[in-house]
Amino acid sequence: MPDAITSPGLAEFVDSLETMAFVTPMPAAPGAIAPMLPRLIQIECACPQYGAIRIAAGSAFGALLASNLLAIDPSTPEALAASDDVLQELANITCGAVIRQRGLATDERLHMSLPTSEPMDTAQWDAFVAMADVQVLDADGHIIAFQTVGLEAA
Amino acid sequence: MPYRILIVDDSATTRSMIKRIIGMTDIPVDCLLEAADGKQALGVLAGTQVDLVLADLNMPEMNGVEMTRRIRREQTTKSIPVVIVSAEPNIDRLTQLLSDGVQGFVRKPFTPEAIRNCVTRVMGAAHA
Repeated sequence: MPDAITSPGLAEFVDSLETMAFVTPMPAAPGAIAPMLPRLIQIECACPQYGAIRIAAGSAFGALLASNLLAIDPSTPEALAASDDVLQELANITCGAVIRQRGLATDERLHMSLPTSEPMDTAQWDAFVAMADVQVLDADGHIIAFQTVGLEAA
Repeated sequence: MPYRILIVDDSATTRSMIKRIIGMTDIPVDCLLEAADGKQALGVLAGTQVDLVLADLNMPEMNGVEMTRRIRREQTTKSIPVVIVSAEPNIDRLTQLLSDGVQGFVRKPFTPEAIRNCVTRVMGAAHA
């Protein structure tokens, strides 16, 4: 668990990453460089108020997760091909964990969307990581960013 | 008798993980089948005899809740054990599924032990 980070939802994100793929992110150094081919993964929910989990990461990070999950080399085409799928699954798992942790899981109106994934250009990455509630992390040498929108505790 | 197990999840990586976990256990397996959503799963079940379904809930086309309802409704599939493997947080939905005849639930992110223990328990009960 990263020190000195208390951002909403981050504990669940870190726990999901550790349990799912044995990766422990730490706070990134200031001015960390954007990853190659970044994507923004988002999953939305209504509980019943709007909430979302957003993860920005490069394809190499997704490939690292896939390699840990499937016991394959992260540089293989198989790992790279699985990158987006793994990041979307990570968003899905984190969203479920955040909802449970916040005591929102008993609301019958609760609905989770399917995760979406979109490419980001450098300007989009810079704008995302500049947001006050976005946590920029270093996960085994990969720079990633995480944000929770809404999802206040019941 | 070796089992035919159908893994239903829209994440191909998760399907591969579950296949790998089951392959590393001593559970006798004849065939590990895959489907990316509930609709595909029902198509597989229409043409193949399956001993166990491991299914996600949050999927495109047809989610796991509707898929389970249809499995339970059909004479040919209603006795197939279903285990939900999902990040689903909605407790009411999970409780309803269990009362509708789902035999087990494994929460994502899962450990290999959680999958192995649940499959062993459910298949043991089904063939006791």
